[in-house]
Amino acid sequence: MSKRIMSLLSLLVIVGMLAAACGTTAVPATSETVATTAPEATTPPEATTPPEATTPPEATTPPEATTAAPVAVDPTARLNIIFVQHALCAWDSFWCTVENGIKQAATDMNIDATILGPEKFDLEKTAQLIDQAVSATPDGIALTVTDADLFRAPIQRALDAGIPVVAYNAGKGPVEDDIAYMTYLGQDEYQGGYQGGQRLIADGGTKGVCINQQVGHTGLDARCKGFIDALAEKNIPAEVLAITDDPAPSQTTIADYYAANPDTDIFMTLGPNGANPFYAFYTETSLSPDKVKHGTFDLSPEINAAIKDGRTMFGIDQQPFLQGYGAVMYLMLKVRYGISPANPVTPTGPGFVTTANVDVVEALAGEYR
Amino acid sequence: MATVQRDRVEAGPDAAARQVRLRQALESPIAGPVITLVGVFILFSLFVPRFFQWDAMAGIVNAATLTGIITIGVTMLMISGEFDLSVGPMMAWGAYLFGYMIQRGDPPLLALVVGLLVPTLLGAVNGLIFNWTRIPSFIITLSTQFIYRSLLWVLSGGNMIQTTAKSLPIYAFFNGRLEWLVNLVPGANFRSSLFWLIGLVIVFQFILVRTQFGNHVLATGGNPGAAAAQGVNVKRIKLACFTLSGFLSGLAGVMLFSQYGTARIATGAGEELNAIAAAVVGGTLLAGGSGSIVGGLLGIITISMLRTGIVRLDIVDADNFPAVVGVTIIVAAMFNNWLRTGAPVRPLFDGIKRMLRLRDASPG
Repeated sequence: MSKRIMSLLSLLVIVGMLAAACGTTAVPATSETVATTAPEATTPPEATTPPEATTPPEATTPPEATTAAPVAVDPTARLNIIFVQHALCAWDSFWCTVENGIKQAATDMNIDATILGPEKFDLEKTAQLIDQAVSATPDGIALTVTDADLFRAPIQRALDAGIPVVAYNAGKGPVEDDIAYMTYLGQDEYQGGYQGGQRLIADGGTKGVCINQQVGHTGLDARCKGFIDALAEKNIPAEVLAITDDPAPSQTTIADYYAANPDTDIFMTLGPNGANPFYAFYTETSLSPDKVKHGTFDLSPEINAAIKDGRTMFGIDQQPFLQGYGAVMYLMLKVRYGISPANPVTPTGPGFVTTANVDVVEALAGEYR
Repeated sequence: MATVQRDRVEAGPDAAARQVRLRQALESPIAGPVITLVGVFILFSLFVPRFFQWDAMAGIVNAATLTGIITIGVTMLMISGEFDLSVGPMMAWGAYLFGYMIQRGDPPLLALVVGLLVPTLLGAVNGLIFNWTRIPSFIITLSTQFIYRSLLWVLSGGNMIQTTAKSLPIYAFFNGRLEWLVNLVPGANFRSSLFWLIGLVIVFQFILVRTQFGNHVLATGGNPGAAAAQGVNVKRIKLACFTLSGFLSGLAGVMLFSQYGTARIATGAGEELNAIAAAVVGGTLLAGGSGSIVGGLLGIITISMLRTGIVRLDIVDADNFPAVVGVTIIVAAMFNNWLRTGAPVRPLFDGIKRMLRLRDASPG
């Protein structure tokens, strides 16, 4: 009896593990359109042209990597692209839109896309996932350069292996990051914080706070820096308040900060996970738009509602769908046609969603915006 | 070693009896956590501006409630000698199913039943795997933490759910703001979840110290061999504790969704360690056999109080908060052990003495 249950249980565990394995990858079902013309178009095994002059001679391109050498392009190749990002749709709704962009592009362009990311915000783990992606020798890697210093070595290993790399969502471009990837698709985080700060203090202000749920994420830190700099230009003091992704303690921390700094009237949150406890604090403290001004990055059902009723001045939209879709597109163009983007930074934002345009954006929210 | 405190000498001359009673009180698993909490409270009340007031107290309690409910189950399980590292995903399962079904238009009561039942079953699976494999529960629940999280991932398609319609009576029942209290006492932002927490702590403390089941839990954690020899069904006790941990995690998830209207796959990430930290600060032995539910509650309140105190003090960067918790856990664990036996502090002093002697002895 108990033996049978035990074997049943172990079966369940195995199924669970399988499911877990599927859960981490988002492979779009496009296999029915697999190109049948593959044989004649295959690359000659000895792709002699080194990808770049800087590559050491012994690091010759492996035969299956049709990538960096312009001569070896193959317009019909079915591509395998791996995405490594520091967050996932599973725990940060912002990323669902990015991943929708990736999946849509993969379907449109006949590409196998695999998305890797840590279970919670963990940069060391993300860096390891880059190495994991490299060892799978995909046709291209798209990744978030959340911490350039930490990610430089693993990204360099990808480049050394001849795998083209594109950055999306987090990064500063190949020049500033000092890593020779193709381009960075995303918003200028600093500009987002800076312009947001300017809007929030258009009618003046006394004291500002930037509520950061992932201190150490260089993109989020840059947003706060832009915000603080914008306020400093008008001699308004501002600082960073660290919270976590856990709403209950975060709400209390925001309330405690406000109790200790009751003259704070400019609030900036950096995404849905920061805005969610902020709104709970806002209601509980009976704040109103004439007492405090609030701006946030990104959008969510809750943020859209707050923009409509005036609690929130704006949500900064970085068009995450374009970040995912564009990353696939640029890698595809590079591998299939040898076409590279021109600029180190390919901006997708900041765009401001206010009462003026929130309805249009909301109609597409979640899926495409 | 477990339940010795209860069957001690109770008669005798007055002075001796008083001394025995004091000794007993200090040896009770709750003495350390009470002294720690009161000490922190007095210190902060004296030195932290705007600490000794209603909104601060409410904030401390609200930040601790959900973890507190999880801590009840984790403490009970730790007393029985086992760990549960999978409480975070089970909480996410509770929050997600509850929120998803309500959003889909199912009756809230049905959503509640499913939201509680599934985490309870997941807890039971932990217990069954433990009983059948005899692998340490640390390893089993470490694995099921990944498995449960990933299964929710698959079920949900990775999508977070968020509702802006937060006015359902069931939300108010589980974690609504007590408007009448706020109107009575401005700043007292307590929520209905507080009553749940207090009620559950009382019930489970009673179960632990006054029922046969509780006695068996203590005996199982203290010495499973001896307990089994005396007729305790160790397997059944452990299964019950694992199941309880799942149920309470699910309940915490339901309460989370009731207040914040948001459920993510990562909901509750890191909650397992918060709960273990609370249990340890609350005087529960990592090895099992000793501890108290009330202690766990005091532990999580202490940790939450530290956070509020530090933020309101407004001099330390809030980023340093985890460091303060770390120091507190070590100090509280040492303090609790010292009250209990005096032993773990002595090696420390001996060590210091030895170091000093070494320095004296060495020529340079």
